[in-house]
Amino acid sequence: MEMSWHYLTQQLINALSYGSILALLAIGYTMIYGILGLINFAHGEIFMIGAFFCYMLVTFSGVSFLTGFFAAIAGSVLTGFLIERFVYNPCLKRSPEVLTVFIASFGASLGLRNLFTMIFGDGRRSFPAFDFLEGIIITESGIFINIKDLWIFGVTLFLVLATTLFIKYTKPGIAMRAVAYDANAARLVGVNSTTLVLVAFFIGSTLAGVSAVAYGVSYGIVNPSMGYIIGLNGFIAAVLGGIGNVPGAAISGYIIGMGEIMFVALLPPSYSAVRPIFVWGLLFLILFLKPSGLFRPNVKIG
Amino acid sequence: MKKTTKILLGLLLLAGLLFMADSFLRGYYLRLVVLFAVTAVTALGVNIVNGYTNIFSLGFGGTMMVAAYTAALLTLSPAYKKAVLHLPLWLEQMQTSFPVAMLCGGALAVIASTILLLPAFRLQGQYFILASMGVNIVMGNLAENLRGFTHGDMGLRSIPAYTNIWWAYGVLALVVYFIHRLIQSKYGRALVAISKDQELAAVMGINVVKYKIVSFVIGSFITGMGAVLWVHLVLTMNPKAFGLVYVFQIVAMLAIGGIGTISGTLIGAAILTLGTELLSPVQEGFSLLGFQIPPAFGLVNVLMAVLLVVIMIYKPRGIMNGREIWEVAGPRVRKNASS
Amino acid sequence: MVAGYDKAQVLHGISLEVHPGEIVALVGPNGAGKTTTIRCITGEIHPMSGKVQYNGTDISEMPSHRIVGTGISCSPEGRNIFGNLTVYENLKMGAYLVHGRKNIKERISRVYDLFPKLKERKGQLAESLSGGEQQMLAIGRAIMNEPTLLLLDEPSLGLAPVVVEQIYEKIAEIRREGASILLVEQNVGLALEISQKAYVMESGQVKLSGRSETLEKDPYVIDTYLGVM
Repeated sequence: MEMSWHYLTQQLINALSYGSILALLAIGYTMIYGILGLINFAHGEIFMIGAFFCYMLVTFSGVSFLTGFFAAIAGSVLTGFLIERFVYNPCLKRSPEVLTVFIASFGASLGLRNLFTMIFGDGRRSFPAFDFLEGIIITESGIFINIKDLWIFGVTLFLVLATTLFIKYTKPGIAMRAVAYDANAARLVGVNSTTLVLVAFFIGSTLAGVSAVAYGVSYGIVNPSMGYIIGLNGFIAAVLGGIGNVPGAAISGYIIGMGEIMFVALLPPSYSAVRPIFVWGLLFLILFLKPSGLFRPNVKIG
Repeated sequence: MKKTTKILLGLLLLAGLLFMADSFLRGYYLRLVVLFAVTAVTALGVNIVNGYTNIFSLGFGGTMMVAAYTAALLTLSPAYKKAVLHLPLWLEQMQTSFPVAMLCGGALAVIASTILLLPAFRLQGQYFILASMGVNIVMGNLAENLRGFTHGDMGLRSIPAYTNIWWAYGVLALVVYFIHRLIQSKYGRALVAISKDQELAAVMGINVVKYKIVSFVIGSFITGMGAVLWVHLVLTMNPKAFGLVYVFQIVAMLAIGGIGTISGTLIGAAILTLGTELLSPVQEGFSLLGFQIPPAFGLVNVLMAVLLVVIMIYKPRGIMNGREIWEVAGPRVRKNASS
Repeated sequence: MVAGYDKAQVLHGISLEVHPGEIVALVGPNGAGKTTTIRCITGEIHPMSGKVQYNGTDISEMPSHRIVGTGISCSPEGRNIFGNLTVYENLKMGAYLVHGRKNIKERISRVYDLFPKLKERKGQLAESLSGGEQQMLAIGRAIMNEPTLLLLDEPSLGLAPVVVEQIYEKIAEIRREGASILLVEQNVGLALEISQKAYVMESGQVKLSGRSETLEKDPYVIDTYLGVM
């Protein structure tokens, strides 16, 4: 086990992609949780379906990367809208109890996951590789950097920044934060939360779609259950970052991503199987010390 | 007719049915009937905490795992254990009877849930749910890694087939009776008060924490027994057996049937267990009116998920709408208010 | 402008009117239904029978976010400011339905003129403000869309007398600028002082109504409300 600077840096570089994937998902979770007050369990499936859209189009129609990329986003956004329209909207209207919506939420998640298992089977399929993403840069000190990791990190950084600016400075962004804090007061200043909810789903799903492509490019695999564990980790990041706090969620995504990788890197190899314990252990620890998360949540406390 | 007479007659009837089932049903159907009872026991145990006490916890998967592995380790033959696992000698050589294994399983489930879930009590609502999910994942992970005890993801096999129709329904009947009496007692009334309005209950002098703990203890014991029954029916055990997928299935049962009622839980368990099994053949493809409909594995799960969502939207208190079968004629009693 | 309505559960048939340019006070004990009345106007609750009319339009069934667009603004009980937003952002939210950046900027600076304390704290998170400042913010936010009818629910709640005085001065200023105000207030003396007309509500019904100066001298009012200060 080397504790050298070199080794650590290398591990951190490796973790950039994974952290990015989680950060993008975390933002989606936290936005929807902030504005609707519900955990969108199906977000992992929105992610997965985006990946499948890209996979299908590229593998079977041979389209370019860019088309596949936007196909993923389209797939995710479409799924997000469908879930909002057919599950959350009716459920919140008729039976808005927390528990009921919660259960409906993972009903949607299970349904979508099994639907895709039904259509595509349980196995893993290879996500296409793209030439311009292949390649490695080797720095003078001997650190290996994958081109694809740079791309993923770059795009994610851009999107996180864009979303943060959006939520901080634009009218709908401020309105979303207001609704997250006090939906009724927001209505009293004229905010129609219906549109804002759709905006939240749109942004969250778009980011999930990008995350899906990042995952496919990074790990080369898609399968119907992929949204499940990654989604859960993304959700943990959202909770860690403070409910409704967009930059907080992104940062936490990286914290968890890098933390996981470092955890595995610093321990003897036989311990790598206990990765989930690290993630959850971290979560418990933080919730224990700071129940509302690392950063300030966007909801009324108390 | 006096109540005790009614119960005795009911038991006799049940015994008769069980005898007929045992003698006449083919293996597959018999197994199904037993599976239903076993699942029902688990569901009823979960219902105590999630339904009656209104604590939505998903951690019971982890405690079931503890119960199941404990019981299996106790009932497996020493020869198998020696070959496959690395256990301390006293454990390796031990082989107990089924009832003992069940009780131990239940007891360890209680201990596990106390250690794991009580500290999480201080967390609110969504955080607690998250933490309970974490318990499941962590336990599953532990089961995978403690190979000496569990044989990792290869799991345990050759578990003796103790669960038969008599054990399953015996335990089920006991549990139903027990819960029924429990709910009608002072404990039950306190639970109803707590589930409706915790703070109000506290102000009225109910020691909320104590009752929650008692619920957890009873609930996890029953759930543990369900796990033991299951393991001795399925005859194998692996870390994924009681993972989040299974946990969600149980929650779906409760939700569809009606959280917080005995009949609701039973109906939900019936719909899901029997429905899934009986509809399975459809998944393998069949011919309808001359058309060959291709196989679609996972279809049943999709349908169940759709059913769940639809029920949550239109009948959030489940099919039974918060009432027991025997209360249907009378006025509606709001057993559990929204959380 | 606003006309009568019933809402059987809390309100048992009440009728009140607010005419342009006047301050109308709605007073009464806790639970009398004052806030419920306000919520009927803002659209948070819809009357079970009867209607709410504003400037000739029936707004009884209109959703809240559209009612605001008709020129009604509310500073709710308990202030309900957006604690996670800055003072400035709160005011911007008040102008959610207003178009024109210059327009909004002007209005914000007018609110700052009215409440200099808010200008001092414009970059601060609203939840870190004192009670009085939060109330000022709530009112400031409510007047951002230059309402023709301003609803104020318990502006003095939980505030020190000195602060309350300041706030009431500002309320008077706001009225001078042309808005009609419906004021719900537990502090009956203050309410009657500042208003032209008043309704006394008890148990969901209007018990007394009339010009404020008359009610101030009414023996029942004095006994029940003005004695206990």
